[in-house]
Amino acid sequence: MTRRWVVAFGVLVMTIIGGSALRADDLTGASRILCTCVQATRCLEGGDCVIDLPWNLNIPQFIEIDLVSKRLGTTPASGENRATVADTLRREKGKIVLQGLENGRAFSLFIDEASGMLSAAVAADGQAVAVFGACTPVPSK
Amino acid sequence: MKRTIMLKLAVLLLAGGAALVQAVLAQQPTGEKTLAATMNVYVFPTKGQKPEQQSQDEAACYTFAVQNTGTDPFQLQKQSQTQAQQTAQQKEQAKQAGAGAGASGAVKGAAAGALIGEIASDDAGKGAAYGAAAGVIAGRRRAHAAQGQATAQAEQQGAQAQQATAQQLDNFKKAFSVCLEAKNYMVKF
Repeated sequence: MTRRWVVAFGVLVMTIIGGSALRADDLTGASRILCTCVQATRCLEGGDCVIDLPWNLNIPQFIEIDLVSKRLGTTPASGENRATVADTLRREKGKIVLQGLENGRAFSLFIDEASGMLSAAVAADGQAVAVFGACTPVPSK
Repeated sequence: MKRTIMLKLAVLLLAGGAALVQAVLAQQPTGEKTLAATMNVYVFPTKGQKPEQQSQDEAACYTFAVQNTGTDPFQLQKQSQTQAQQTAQQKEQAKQAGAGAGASGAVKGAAAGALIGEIASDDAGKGAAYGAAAGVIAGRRRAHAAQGQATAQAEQQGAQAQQATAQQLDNFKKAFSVCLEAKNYMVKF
């Protein structure tokens, strides 16, 4: 009897934790999001790849994305004033995809709306950078 | 007759009491710090020297110690205060320099402007070894590191100066003590 209660309690806890994790950073319906880059890998055409902290590769620590204007930019607090506008934005089946080109670098961002997880790739001549991070909705002003 | 004896006894007791009180008061500290006491050196006259004599002996030994060690504790104290101020100033300067570097980094970032185009950019030497990418954040990190280094250097210099001052003071106290011991005082510091 006691064992059943323990199992039932465990299942309940896992359900609560798992449920909240899935709901965390739900971007559904958000028009502005804030993304943070956690890990980056840079690969050169020779096959050498190195994992590094994003800011060591000049990837902004935080990127604000306006999903209406397709604008990606650094936060005002960073003092960096860097921005670019994506050429395309598609939002379907719970996925957000942004693609563009800037200074000879092509970029693609893939964001899962339900979890807020970010996967991005930047490709340039002879090299590619893969970036992973997470996004959260920005409350409207 | 008995009354006269009692009176004489009373007078004698009073006189003795007064003398005792005077003797005790003479041994009590006056509240003024002696020269040795200001340096946390404890001096006891083993031959019953009077305070005036002790004061003279301490002054003589102070001069002796200054001449023999080349150190004047009161000058040292002033130097120590000046050094502490200099250390604080150097630390402040390092802090301001770091802030300046951050500002220039921000200006550089404002001029660069590209969000994606700057990622992993090593235009200074294409194909250069990994780590050549120089960015605003990297610049800011370097500035912070330099600031930390300058602050640590200032702190180290301050600590070294303090250590040197303590050593000089210790030498002075040794010379001062030797002199006073020769004049029949027990000395501890």
